[in-house]
Amino acid sequence: MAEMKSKKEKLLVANRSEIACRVFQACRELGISTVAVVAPGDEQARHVTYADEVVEVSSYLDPAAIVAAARSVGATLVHPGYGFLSERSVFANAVEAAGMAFVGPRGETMDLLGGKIAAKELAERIGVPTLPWAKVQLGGDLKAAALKVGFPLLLKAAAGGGGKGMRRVDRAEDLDSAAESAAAEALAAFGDGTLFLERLVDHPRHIEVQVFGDGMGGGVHLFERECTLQRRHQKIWEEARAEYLSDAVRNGLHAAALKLVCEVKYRSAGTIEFLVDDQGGFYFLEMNTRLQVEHPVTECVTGVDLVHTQIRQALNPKKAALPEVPAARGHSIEVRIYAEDPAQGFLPTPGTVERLRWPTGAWIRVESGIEEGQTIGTSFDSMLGKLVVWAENRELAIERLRVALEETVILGLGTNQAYLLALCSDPDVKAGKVHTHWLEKTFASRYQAVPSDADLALWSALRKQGLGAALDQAPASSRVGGAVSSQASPWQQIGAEGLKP
Amino acid sequence: MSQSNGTLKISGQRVTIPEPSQGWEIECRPGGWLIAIRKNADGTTERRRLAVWSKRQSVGLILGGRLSSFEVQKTARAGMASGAPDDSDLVAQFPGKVRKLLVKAGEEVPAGQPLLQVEAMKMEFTIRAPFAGKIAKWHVTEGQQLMPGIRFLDLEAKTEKES
Repeated sequence: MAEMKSKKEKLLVANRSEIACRVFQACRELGISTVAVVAPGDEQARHVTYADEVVEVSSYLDPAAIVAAARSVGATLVHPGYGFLSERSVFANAVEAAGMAFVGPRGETMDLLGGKIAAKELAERIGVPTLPWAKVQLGGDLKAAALKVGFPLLLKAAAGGGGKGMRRVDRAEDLDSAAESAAAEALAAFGDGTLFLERLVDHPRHIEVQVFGDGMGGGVHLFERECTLQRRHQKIWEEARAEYLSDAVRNGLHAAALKLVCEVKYRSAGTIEFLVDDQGGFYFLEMNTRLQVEHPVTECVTGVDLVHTQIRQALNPKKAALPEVPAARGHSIEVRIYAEDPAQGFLPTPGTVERLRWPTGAWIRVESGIEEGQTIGTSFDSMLGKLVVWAENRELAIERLRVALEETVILGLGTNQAYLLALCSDPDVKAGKVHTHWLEKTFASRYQAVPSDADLALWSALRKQGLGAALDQAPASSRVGGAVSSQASPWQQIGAEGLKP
Repeated sequence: MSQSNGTLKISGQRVTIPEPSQGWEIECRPGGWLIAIRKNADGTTERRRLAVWSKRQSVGLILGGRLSSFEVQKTARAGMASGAPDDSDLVAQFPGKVRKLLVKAGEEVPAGQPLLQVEAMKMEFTIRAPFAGKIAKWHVTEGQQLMPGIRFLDLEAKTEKES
């Protein structure tokens, strides 16, 4: 085939684990070579073996080190993933200044939308509804500002995220002490103690709109997602589309999101987050200027590959590269599997993945960030992977998710698998009667970490048939030999397997 | 005197290991699955699928898609019921930082009393007294970095007076 001479494209992902693998898959499909970065302590991570080249960097958070790594291998594109440097304009600008394409929005757009206060002011200016809010001036009259906003309210860090520097305040008397501790926490976490006040909505739902902009003032929305099931402002269960919205609210959300995209001439994939109250009011929260963790549910209901679309646009930025968005079909749910114990305040449960078996089956998608044998420490995010399902309706999607979770085997460390499984059969989840504090306020007391007596008695029976003696006391070497002589003792065999290097 | 099967620690809760249920036949299947089959008196057959991994006292059990991770605690032998209470909760299990000590040395605390706050993985956790007792000695100070295995404090169990 006579082909035009074209530059060989090479993409570096400035990220790790499952999202790096997700982007690498797209690159491999598009014939683009792949470069992974790896930080000290993360050598076992899955993305390291998934790429064509690997460069060591001192930290995933060091923009200069990552730009230097990209230049050293001749990368032509850099994808930031989510978290880490993905919303740092300094990084996006440095990548482009070095002559590479940044797969995401322009740095100046991040500056425009990154600060929570600036983003609110922008939304207000173009008529996108926001919650009543007020800036907190250093040494200013906190009480007057609070009365303007109204109680109950939230104190929030201007530079915040993940619930850090956030306090609920119900009474004027509690303002000063809450402000003091929130500012200290924000200063420690983000190096910036600036706060603002925002009216608190009781029992809200978290709805977000997926958008894609052409960078020239045009854009499309790819419908909405519902991420109401959160704990400490961390999403664990995400759906597309949002089932429990009136058409008026849904259309209002889409229109408001598009207004923002066009106003800032947004480029690439982004998400606009809203709170929806039980009266049908909706309020702009913030814009995430990156690909979201939960992007697969949107891909499932639209059939649009968001990562392909991002990369194609980055390769040809002058052409309007908007995806064609078909009508959404069916329902999709994603859950995040973490190495943590939901029954103990989500305490991290580091350990080694001794046995791993992701589910297979119709309409089940797995975004894995781990490998069997890998040790999960506490230095990096404890998300092990994501399970995504699609079905023709929400009811069936929940049942399919339950089956997928039942088929998942991750042994050797604790995970939130049982917790997610319990959510699948909860009547409030099935009926959609949830709000953003439902997990902490209602579900926390429903979740039973201890298995039933019958299940423990079965385990006890199996243990009696050989597990206890063989694994608790005998040294490893003595078990490997005389293993499966008796049909009734599967334990030695399992023990021997588990000890293979 | 009945001999105890020992106890389990599941998500910080202590659970007595139940008597084994009877009549299970175990089949090892490819993929690491185990099938437990039991024929009941009424002619029905129960069939459960599970996966187990175990090393020393740590057990991971998948049964009906539910993962339970737990520790098998030392088997209490008959006649040794009054040994020292288990205070493994007072040792750091993961790296982090001591945020705040909530009680002073010499204080008496009831079981469940918050003793200190630690920070790990950008989150705060409260360590509670596993049993009633007196704070004998603090081994950590506020702001100190924690590595797994560092003991927070010595807690002297309160001896129950029998009358």
